[in-house]
Amino acid sequence: MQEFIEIAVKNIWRQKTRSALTIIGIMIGIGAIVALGSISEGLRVIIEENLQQASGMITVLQKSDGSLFTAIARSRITEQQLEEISKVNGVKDATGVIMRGSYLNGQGGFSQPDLFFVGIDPTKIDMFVSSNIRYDGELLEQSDTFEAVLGDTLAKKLGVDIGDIVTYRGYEFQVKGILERTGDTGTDSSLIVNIQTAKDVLDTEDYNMVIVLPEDLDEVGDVAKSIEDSVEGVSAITTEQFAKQISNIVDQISFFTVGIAAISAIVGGLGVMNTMIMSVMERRKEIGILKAIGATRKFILKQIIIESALLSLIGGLLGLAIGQLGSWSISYFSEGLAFAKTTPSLMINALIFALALGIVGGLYPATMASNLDPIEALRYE
Amino acid sequence: MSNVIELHNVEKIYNEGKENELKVLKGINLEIKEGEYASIVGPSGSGKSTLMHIMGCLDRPTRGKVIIDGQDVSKLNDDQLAKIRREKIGFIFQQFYLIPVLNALENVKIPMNLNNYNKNDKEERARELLKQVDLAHRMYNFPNQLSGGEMQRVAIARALANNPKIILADEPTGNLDTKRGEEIINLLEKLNKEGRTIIIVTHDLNIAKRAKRKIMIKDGVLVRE
Repeated sequence: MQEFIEIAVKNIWRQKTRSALTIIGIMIGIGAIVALGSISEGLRVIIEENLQQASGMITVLQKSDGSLFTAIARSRITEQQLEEISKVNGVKDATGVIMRGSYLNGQGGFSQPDLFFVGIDPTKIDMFVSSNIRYDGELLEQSDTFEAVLGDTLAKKLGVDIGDIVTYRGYEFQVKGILERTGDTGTDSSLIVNIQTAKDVLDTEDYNMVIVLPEDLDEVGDVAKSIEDSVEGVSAITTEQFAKQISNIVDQISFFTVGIAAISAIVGGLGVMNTMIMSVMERRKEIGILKAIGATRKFILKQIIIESALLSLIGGLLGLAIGQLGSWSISYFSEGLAFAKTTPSLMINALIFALALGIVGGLYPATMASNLDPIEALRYE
Repeated sequence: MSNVIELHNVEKIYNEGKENELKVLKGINLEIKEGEYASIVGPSGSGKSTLMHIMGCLDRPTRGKVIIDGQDVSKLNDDQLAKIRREKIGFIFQQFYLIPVLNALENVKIPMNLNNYNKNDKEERARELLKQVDLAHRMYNFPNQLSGGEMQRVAIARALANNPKIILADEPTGNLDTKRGEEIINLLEKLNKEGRTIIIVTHDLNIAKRAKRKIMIKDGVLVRE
């Protein structure tokens, strides 16, 4: 095996430019798979973290035909609906939440808001953030009005600490506590105040959503259904449904992005095949010599496939490095809006894909080489 | 002495039954004993290359039987023939046919790689063989850094790598000047004295004459010994 690899390296080195271009072809494809794949992996990680945090809760929104994301922003739930929800069988607790996204730099656009103004009953704050969340300072109390608790990302962006003042819509809030980073963009970018204050600031009596804690965590689905049946104009979404919807979206995103990247890697694989075919043609005579002095078909087959796999593997390894770099830059330049993460399984799969491309791409030229007739091949000048 | 090569009524016909049918060998009978030093001469187109390909198991006869070292090889498949070539026959070609990316030592090791030798044995044996052909000082040179005579000596060392009974040399001096050619023939004669069967295919009568046995081929038949 060692000899095979040594000779393969020599042969790859023989046509430096051609080999380098072939390797770059694979590198770009695999790099794209890793970089784009890391975005969906990142999304998945965020979802999983949120799921653990919100597990067992039911989110009640105004019924709408729109997608989940627009639904939260547009949803309105009245005080009366909240009361009705509280009375549904199996509901242990329900609390209304006001949530407004806005942009620190004053511009909207298509990006995710980087500030979420959240109003919630201070005694039920643990229904919004996890009950075992860690924080600096204090959480809100019933008597608080213009005191606020900030998410970690937001506090850092604003450069504020406990005791400092934060301004929202012309109102000044004193920072009372700062939540530790949760990984959930919503929570980490939130400015949480007393529900009554939020109603005053926004001049509204309605909530955006209601968070429901069921009596029995195993019956989340049944309780959600009861809520929808007994309260008019609302839809109740369980964490599981929520997760399923998002995970479907993530699957679609990763299918398209990684799929497109995979196509570019396959084109790289064709490059490997092309290079190997040319290499076999140029080395006809050498292959003929090897066969004349006793090399079997298997020996030639093995040599050419190892060469092809090696080309592809080098491209794959460089691709992993480039992809990791790409993944870091996505996280870095999006300033926390997109979170890209390269998982070991993503890396391993990308490398296996590169290797497979090399082997499959090498099969045809290798068969071609192993079937050369030594007499014919030696006659070739 | 037993026969290392036997040809019985060997015929080689290209495009048999077609309009452009070409009979290259027309019923050759030939026996070569172990330790013989023979030359095969004939003009171009006489069939001597085809004869050498068949004796070297590079090609199969259309009809007839070929026995190498007691084994009938006429019906063997490609890989089985490769094994015979690797184990029983050492080839020397007019154009040397060294692998350009490998140095002299590595070229000599190839047949042993094909034969699964132990790594250290290979190294040692390859060095020993290069010493035998007076190339101890050229082991790490690549073919393009060697003269024609040196390349042919590397090829001879390679031919000996798997310790074959038969050495088949196809115009071994064709690309060399008289002096270098002489050296190569002397080397082959030395190998014959050590007991190896040497067959030289050539059109050069001076070289052919030096062999103990001269086989002449013309129009696909052996005309005279």
